[in-house]
Amino acid sequence: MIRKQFYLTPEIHRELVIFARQQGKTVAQVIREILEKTLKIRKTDEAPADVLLRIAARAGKGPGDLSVNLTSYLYGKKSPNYGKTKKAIRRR
Amino acid sequence: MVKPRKLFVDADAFVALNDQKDPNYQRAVVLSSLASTARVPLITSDPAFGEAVTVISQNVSLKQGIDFAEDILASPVEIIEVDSSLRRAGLEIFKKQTSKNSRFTDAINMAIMKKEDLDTIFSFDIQYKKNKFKRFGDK
Repeated sequence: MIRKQFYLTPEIHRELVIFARQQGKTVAQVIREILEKTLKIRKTDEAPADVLLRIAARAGKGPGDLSVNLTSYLYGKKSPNYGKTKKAIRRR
Repeated sequence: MVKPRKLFVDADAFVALNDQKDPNYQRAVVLSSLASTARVPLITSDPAFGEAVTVISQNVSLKQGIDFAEDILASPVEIIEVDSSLRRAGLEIFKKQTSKNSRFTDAINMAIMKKEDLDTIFSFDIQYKKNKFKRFGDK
């Protein structure tokens, strides 16, 4: 465990003490649980690249040449704003 | 295949994984499986991540782009932010490129890989091979 010191407003402190008492837990335990939930700490054994497989599993249907013509889709002829005037882009 | 210490993921690999019609989709899935089995830590750059989100949202769907971004941000993928020294190192690499179609983002990615002492990238771009980096999965 790492010891941390921080300030709480009197209202938050009061609510924390009441909540901890109701739950039968210590204030520190309640704070840890809230932080854990908020930070969505994953306790799974997931490999870093598993996120890529999850993304691939729900892949959509694109034009079929995105990765090979990436520069063109970003900055060239296949970009949605290619050949349009500033005025036309503003109007979109 | 030698397991890289960390694997840099470029925008085109992210993009290929998001479009099932992409010619590199199947290969990207196979390479992701290999990286998953080897439990290799993944890193990318802020500009590569931004390029991927933009292209996916404009050409697959806005929702696909947003879901992709949320997934990556909630994952252990490390996103390197570009500071002034990386920008300068990227420019030095960019100056050595011979094609006028080179992307500055690629030069930044190479600068990050050099700084992190990495030699392998998950990308289908020939540019990296020309710059003496190994593409993940190549023999």
